[in-house]
Amino acid sequence: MKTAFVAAISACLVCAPAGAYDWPVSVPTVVATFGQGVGGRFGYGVSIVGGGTEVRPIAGGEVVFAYDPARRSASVPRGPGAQVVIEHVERVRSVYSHLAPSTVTRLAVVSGSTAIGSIGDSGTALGPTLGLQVLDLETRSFLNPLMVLPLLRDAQPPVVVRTLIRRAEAMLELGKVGSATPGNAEILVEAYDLREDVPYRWRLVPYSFTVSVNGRQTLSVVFESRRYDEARLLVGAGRTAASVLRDAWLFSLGEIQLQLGETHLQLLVRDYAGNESSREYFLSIKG
Amino acid sequence: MGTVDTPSRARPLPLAIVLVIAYVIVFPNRAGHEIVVRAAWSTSIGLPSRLTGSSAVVHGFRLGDAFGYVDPSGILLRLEAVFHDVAFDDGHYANYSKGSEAIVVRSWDGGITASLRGSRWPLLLDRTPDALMMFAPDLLGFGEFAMDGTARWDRELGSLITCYAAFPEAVAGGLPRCVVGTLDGTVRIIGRDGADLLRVDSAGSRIAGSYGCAVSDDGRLVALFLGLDPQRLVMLNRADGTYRELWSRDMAQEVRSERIAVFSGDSRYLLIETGDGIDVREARGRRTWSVACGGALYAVATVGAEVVAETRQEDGSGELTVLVLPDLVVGRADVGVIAEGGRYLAGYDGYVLHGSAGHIGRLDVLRL
Repeated sequence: MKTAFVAAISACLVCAPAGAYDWPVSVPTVVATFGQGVGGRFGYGVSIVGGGTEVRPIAGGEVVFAYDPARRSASVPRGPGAQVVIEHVERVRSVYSHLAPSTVTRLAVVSGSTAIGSIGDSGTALGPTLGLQVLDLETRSFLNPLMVLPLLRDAQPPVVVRTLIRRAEAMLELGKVGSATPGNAEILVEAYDLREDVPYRWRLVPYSFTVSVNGRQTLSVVFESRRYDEARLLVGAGRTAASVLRDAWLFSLGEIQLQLGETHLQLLVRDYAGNESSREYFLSIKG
Repeated sequence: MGTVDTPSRARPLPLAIVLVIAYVIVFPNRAGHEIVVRAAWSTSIGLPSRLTGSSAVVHGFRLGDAFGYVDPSGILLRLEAVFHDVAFDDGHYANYSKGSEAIVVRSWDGGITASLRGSRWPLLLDRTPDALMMFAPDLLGFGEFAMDGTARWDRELGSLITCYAAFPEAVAGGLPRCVVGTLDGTVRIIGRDGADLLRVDSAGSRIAGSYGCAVSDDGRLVALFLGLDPQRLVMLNRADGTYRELWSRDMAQEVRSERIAVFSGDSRYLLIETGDGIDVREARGRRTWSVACGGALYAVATVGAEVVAETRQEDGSGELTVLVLPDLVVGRADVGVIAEGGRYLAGYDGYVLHGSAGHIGRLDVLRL
């Protein structure tokens, strides 16, 4: 199951054959994943730590924008700090933020082995962190970099803290209640992912959440990509990011219909390496 | 933060500590006037400072890790350490740290004007005391906020903001609020209600992108740099309440960053950064002049019909060039090696404030 899932993710390399892109640093330690933002904003890329580490592009291409505060002024306060944007073949762009000033490349064309800067803490970064985003100009989407870069293997499954259903204003924790009344119910999950290569308990957003009701997949949230002119995750449900990310590590997966009788709920949370955590709940729906 | 004690007075003329050459240049320009460039005063900036005093006219400046206010005669009125960055104009400032949960706007003398919650970074609207622009930390959105913290409008643009210019506030006639360009090559002229009045894109160029924008002092002209291969300069003109293309040119030199471009004070010319100086173009005509300067252009300040440009060499040394438009160089001054962020240039009526190497000074540009 896990092998098949990993293969499926590898096959989903968008806009490039598998293996076309590589990590921008030699040893990528990811401390924030797609969806994980700052100040309540949706995070459109990943954050990689490693102060002073040389940064290379994920593939060769053309530098289409660069900003180095050591050499240029700017008309706006630049939160991303020192930055390079590279356009690759098939109209995919990669964005590298929070680079160290004075290290930003001045080249117009770079290969996959060209140094384009060093990891710094310019802009809003509170510590040495590389911000990496991947853009698909054809679909006008922010792609999840973890979907186009080589798989980072780890064996640690996501952590599911609790699963809740919300009926009207009441919040019920599944596993602690055995019954509910019929009607619409919102499913919320408090969960996060951990990685073995981060030597401290650093939480990451999981890759996907799936809810099955009585054996039928009913709800699904997948952090795959996000169109930047429609403000929604490409999950097929037309939901905005704000409606999914309710609070730190609390995700709203959508609504289900609770019908009279016995209901079997199965929750499946997956991370990018294919590790899974599942929970099963049984509810008696009574009028 | 400085506290009240005694005023810091400017020395009459620098002993070439900052401006290596403080000299008087007299050149007749084409109209027969003599142009005199004179270093009026220079004062050292050293933190911490204990300052006092007030003035009807104050000028804000930022120099390296310090910012402050000085009056036109050279009295340093306020000096503070920059937390992470500071937004300021000649009346207010907002000094903020990286992880600020609130932006505090103060008047130049330190009095609190407003406190706005949120993690956005500010840009003060020049001479607009009741509002400021706030930019999202990822530069994918921005908005105009009143000083009480309420959003007058708030936009998510979905693409990285690469350039921005505000329309003048004081000109009557219902001008737009600003021009903003994004990485996907879209430039928007945004109205006072936050809605798009006009959208222009970089179609026609192989690479989409926005690489600079400028608005004339009268608000009637807007210059845009769009795309790569080719990079086009598009001049928009206001007519019948809308902006339409007046002309466009392919740039001989492409700049893959936000390009410096400034209109002259009389809106007759557009000054454009090139690799080794400035191009001066007629805003409504076809003529162009190239002015070689010492190094890459870093900042430009207009002083009436004259221009002061600051350039930087690869070794970090800087030079000031005084230019009578369109292309008559009337003075140059070596300003020594510039530390990172340690420079400032702003133009006023008849003079510029210039900062480098720990000093802020005034250069008078006089037309006799």
